[in-house]
Amino acid sequence: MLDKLFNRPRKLANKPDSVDIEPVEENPRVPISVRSLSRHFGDFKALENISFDLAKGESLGIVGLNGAGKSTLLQIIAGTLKPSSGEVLTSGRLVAMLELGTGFNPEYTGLENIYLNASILGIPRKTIKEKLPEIEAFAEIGDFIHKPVKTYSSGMSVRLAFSMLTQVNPDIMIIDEALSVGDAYFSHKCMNLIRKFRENGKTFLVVSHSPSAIKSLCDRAILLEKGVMTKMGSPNDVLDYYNAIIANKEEEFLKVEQAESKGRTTTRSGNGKARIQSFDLMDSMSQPRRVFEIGEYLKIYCSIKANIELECPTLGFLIKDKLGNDVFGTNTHHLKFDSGTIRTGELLNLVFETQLYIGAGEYSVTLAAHEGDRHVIENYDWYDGVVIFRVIPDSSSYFTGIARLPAQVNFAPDDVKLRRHYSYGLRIDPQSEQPMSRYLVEGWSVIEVDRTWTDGEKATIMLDIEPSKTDRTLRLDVTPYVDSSKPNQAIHISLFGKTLFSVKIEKRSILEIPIPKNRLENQQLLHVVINTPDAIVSKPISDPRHLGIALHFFEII
Amino acid sequence: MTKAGILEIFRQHELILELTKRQLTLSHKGSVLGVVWILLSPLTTLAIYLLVFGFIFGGKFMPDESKFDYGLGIFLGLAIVHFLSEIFGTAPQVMFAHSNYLKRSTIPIQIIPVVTLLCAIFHLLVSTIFVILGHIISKGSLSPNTLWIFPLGMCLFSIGLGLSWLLASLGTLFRDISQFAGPLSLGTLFCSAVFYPIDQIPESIWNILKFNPILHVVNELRSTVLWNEPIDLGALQYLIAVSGTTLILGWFVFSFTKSKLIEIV
Repeated sequence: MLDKLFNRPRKLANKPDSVDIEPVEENPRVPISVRSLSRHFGDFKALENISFDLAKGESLGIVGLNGAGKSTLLQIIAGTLKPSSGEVLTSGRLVAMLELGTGFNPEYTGLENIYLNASILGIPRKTIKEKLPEIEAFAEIGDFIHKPVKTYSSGMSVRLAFSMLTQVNPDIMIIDEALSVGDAYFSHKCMNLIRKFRENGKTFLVVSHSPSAIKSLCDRAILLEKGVMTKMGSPNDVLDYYNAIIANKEEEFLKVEQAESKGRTTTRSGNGKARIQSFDLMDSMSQPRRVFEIGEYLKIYCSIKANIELECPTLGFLIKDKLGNDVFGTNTHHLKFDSGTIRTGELLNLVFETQLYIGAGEYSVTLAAHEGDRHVIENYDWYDGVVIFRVIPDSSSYFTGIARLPAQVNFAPDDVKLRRHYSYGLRIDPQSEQPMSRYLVEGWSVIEVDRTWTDGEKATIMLDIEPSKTDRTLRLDVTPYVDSSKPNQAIHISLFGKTLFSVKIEKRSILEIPIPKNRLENQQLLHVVINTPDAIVSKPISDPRHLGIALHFFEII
Repeated sequence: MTKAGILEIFRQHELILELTKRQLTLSHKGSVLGVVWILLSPLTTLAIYLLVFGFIFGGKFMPDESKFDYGLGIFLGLAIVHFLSEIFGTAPQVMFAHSNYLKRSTIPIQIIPVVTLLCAIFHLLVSTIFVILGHIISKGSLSPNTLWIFPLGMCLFSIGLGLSWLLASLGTLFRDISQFAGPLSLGTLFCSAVFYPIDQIPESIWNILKFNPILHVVNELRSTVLWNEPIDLGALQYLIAVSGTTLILGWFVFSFTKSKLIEIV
């Protein structure tokens, strides 16, 4: 009876109760060798006949849907679980980060938690004491390290947990779904750290739902489906196959949700004059897809059915990121597309096409059919988050942020001369040969035909002037912004950081500011700062600008 | 595997100490008095028992004993019983309490009941130091027989560790075990001669109670440390036998069920 209740511990090459593992004689160079491994929980087959070898310095990604057995596999390799049959041979020191921050207790400070977590990972206390600055620098949480973890943001505790990575020095490292947490900057930092580990010939085993992590970190990937290893190969091949599974899965899911959504009005709203009948995402070859590389073509197919006759209905889509921020949206109205007249019962089928110059991540698509340019006017059907798709990095260079802007870099031919050169006596106005815009550094509105307004309380002119042996005068032709509530504008003009001139004006005037010659001995950049503390937003003309004065021309004579 | 498993405990001493520290501070974390409670709670219990058994029932170990000495006697017995109660109370649930470590890390799980033991030892040590200080205040010196505290302590700790492993394993496999913690502690308290000298026990009951190893630990510690009497070698031999058996039994049950435990929690 007891034998039935307890599986007698099988003789395993990896000792689950030990972190240091002696090399396996029969296969000394293979850090991990999994041989026809199976694991059953009662009748449930969590893993079925899994076999693979991992060479030194190789890194393997494990992908699969939730419940496919990924974590069970890692637990068996790490030695916390025993297989039902088959064996796992490992050689070398193994560290498993099965869950980041195991043993983090919110009542204790970050530092106290580091010490405990370190001893769980087998890092001696002494090492931690010595390397504390390094850990702190990696975690980048500042003085919070001395505060209880309960005061941390979730991002901070992830940072702290990951900082332990800098101190482990295993031959084999197992990481379970940890790389997708934290902000982009930090996960990039972690990726770099892991790459460095790999360059040092460490063996890696990674479970991740993030295709980009697998693609960029792994040499090989395996796909688990319901406990069976259905695919092994290059990360690209395996992920393509995996993505196909996800797409199928999501379609099934959608059907269900559509059926359910009849009673729900939160995600779908509209007056019913038209209904979105069907939709799909496709690639440039018009094949349905849910995963796209950055820069790939995305086609959004959408079909609406008119329930009454509609005159040029608008159909649009909106892409939102994981946090619900609008990334990009447009519609037939903005695209100046004439959708024509649709009679009752007729379908309108459209395909939008765009190119996904957006960052890697998960996005949702919202579809809408309405009248006019926005759905608030008359909303036929608004379907929020109808479909999820994923953007993954392509082979080109890494970037940060949410959008990929075209970027390039070249060596500058020389120290670039910013062309603000000014010769004495030259009158600069909006019509002058020397463009006025090159001298207007900050605090200015758009240049109009004969003037340019200051926007805000401070506007700066910058001039690259030649040395002068005589005193000079700066002349400014300005018009104050005045209305009934503000009869005049105060103007302070400073040069070399010192206010040289203050005046209050009611109407257009020419200001003359003397510049002593001793200030003009060298070729230099002259900063003319115009302060207009009374600048106001004019209410009657609903102009958001903070108007102070308008500048018509300036010159130094 | 068994041998390596035992050795692993020594290899993981740093982790064990960290976990013990964590466990010890955990219950006081955030409380106003903090670590003071480690002393305050046994002293409060002592005050209650001293009031009831010393003053109301007029209990005495020796005919010409002061209430202070009687208090010390009770306190020593209580400390030992608390040591066991702590293990009874904690060990059956300790694997669940540390499920995170079991599932998410590769630490050898046999160290977790060791942590339970160390926490109990810590509390026992604090109380023992208190008793010895009290005894010095009362009598002015320590008797040479006090040295018997070490073999007796080793026996008690072995029993504690054996029980800790046993209960951690059984308490995880059969969740009902933890329900016995209360009655078991109470039984130990009253059947271990904490409040009365053993010669007051009627013959018929003694025939049963004499098998209780804790009774012997309490009695021998009290007579050697507090009353400067030589140790009863028969009792010591019995304790060594019992503690060795408990330790080995506990270890085997635990390592036998180990892989099952990881799955259950």
